[in-house]
Amino acid sequence: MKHCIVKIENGEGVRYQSVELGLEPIIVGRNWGADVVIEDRFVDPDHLQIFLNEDDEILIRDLGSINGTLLKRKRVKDQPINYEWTQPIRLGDSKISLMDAEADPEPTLLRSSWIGLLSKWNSPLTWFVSLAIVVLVQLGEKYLNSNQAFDIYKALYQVWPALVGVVVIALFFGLISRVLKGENNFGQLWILSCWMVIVTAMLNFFIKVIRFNWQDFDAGQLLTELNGTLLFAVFLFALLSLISNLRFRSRLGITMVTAGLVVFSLIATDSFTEEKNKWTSMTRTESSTLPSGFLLRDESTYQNYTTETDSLFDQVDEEVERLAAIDEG
Amino acid sequence: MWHRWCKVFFFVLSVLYLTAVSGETVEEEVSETTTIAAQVSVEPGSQFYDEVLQIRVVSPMAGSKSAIGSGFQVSDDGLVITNYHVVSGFIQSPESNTIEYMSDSGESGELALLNFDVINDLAVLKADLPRGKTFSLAERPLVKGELVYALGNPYDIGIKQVSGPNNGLVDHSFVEKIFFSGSLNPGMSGGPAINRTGDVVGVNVATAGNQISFLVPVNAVSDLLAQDRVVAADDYYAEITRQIDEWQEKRVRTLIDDPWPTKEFVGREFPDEIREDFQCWGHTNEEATDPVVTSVAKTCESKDVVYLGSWLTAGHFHMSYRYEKSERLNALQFANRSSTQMWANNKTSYKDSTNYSCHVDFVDVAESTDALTRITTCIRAYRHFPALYDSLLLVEQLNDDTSWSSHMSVSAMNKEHINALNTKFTEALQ
Repeated sequence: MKHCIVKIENGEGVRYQSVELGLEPIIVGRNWGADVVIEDRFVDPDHLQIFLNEDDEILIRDLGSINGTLLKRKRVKDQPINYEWTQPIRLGDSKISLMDAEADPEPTLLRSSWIGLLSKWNSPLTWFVSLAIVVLVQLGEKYLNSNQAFDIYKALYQVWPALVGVVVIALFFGLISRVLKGENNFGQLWILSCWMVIVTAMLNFFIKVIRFNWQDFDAGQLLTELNGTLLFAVFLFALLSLISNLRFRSRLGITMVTAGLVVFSLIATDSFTEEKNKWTSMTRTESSTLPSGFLLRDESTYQNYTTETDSLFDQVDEEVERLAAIDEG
Repeated sequence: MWHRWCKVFFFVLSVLYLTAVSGETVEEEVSETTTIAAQVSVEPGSQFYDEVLQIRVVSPMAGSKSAIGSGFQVSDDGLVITNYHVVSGFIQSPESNTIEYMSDSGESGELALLNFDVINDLAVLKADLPRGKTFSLAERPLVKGELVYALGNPYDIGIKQVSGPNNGLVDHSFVEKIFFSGSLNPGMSGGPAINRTGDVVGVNVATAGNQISFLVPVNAVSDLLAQDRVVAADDYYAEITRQIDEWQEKRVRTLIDDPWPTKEFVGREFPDEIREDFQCWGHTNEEATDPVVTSVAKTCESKDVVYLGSWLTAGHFHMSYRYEKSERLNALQFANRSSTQMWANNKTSYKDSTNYSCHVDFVDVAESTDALTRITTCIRAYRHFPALYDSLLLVEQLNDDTSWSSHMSVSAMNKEHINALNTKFTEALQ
């Protein structure tokens, strides 16, 4: 058995994957079931085999591919030939090379992005600690947002969906990551979704304090929605990094476009709603309430307050004119 | 299985059919007995059956009536009186409706709307072909306990009469109404209520069920007729606005000028039944076992409401208070119970009013207390009644374990009235 790192270079960029070489050959190809997946339409589903012989020498063998395999500008046939560390193998538009993991010259390049931090912490202890913090934060959130007497059993019952979410994200995207990227990112995704839940809860409380303090500022809802979109964008970017072989620029692009679509749909749902469906006999105001200690600013004077309410009459008069114009047009 | 259901269905049908037939036979018996009416005592309303008209608002496009009521002619030149609410559908869209009358004997014709009074719920119409029969308005004031005969066409069945004693004017109201202990039913609205000599003493207007009905006093009819004017179709909304504003001024001015009496509510003084036309109801949750909060609530309301149509009411004046004390909640959980959300008390729709525009802020009103005071003011405008608004006001005094929410809601008032009442209410809470 030999632990080695495969360097894969193609139109998508450069990536690395670790594999175990043995007497049993590993398969390189376009097939999602291959041991090393190469997304390249000139690569066959099962293109190439790599294995060790009894003397621990590395051998490669072409599996009868349409476009062939080149090693040192020579075509590899179905007869196994010897391979030396770091020699580039060309298949289709892509290039792979193998490095000895024990004597690897560039091991840090395995995961080059900040997401790599997750790999550094990836251990059963971190998984457990992250999940424990999720449960605590969720319970805390339920405790603070309850307007009934706190019931620990009921709260624990409400924590369930968050835990299921963490497991589903880790399993589902872990599988995609395994298939598309050939990497085992289950642990990283577990930690990522845990921290996503934790950060959301903390930001939500922070936003509640802001909304409470700027009670008269009628953008509280927008603030919450933007916060949700921002978190979603960060999560999406990290997810793309962990499950796909996209380049940094493509990942950023997809994230920006998706986040943009979310913001647009938030704004658009309002502007596409017919005026008569927006009508309600209810008031829509900022309702966040916290104990008086959380008010970090001075209260308004009654005189200032009445000046503000005076302008409400002009606002609704303008609304009457606007609606009349819509009904006529 | 299906056969069984079919059998049940036919059985039900036959029962309904029999009921309808037996109903008809009863009516025939009644008409036979009327032939001997000359020998028995008959209520005086009977001789006016053909003088009472059914009033219909007809939509020519639909080819059918959209509202029915009753009415009666009061002058030889064909002036007809009915309720404003009977013809409110016409006032809303005069271009797509007509008003017609029909007598018990089948005479019919068109009516034109001349004038109306939204507060007293009256309308003056004019028949193109006046009929010979008119009612005269009573000049003698109605005596309490005197028998009154109300005529009208309930449920489109035909002109009928109901009798009952006059129980005097409804107390403490800014809309004069006679309390009539007879059973008025839908369709009788706008019909005349006469005394024993056949003079009109009032106009049928509303019922609260169980022989509790209301009549518009006849002096409101004579006042409206004395105006002798014609409101153009383009001015209907402006006229409604003027009448409501004038009535509100009469109703609200003394409230603005006079001090408000207060009453104790959980150890503090609050404006309560601020005038005789206000009524309060209280409620506590003390009976709940082991409550997380103790809450006490009180609602006060003025009885007077202006009915402008089934889709639109105005003139509501409502105050409510809620006190809450935390029993088992910490400060954060208790704070979560507060909400600035409010609902309108009157009925309107997209066609008639805008959404509420609100301003909410913490206001430093009382220097002495450490309680946080949050005031929410919401205003909406009427789309067709210029310078009339609905207002909602919420003053919350929030402590870590107790809170007081005081709410005042007024409807169809001008800006000056709303501002004055809001300030007065806020000051009365300190």
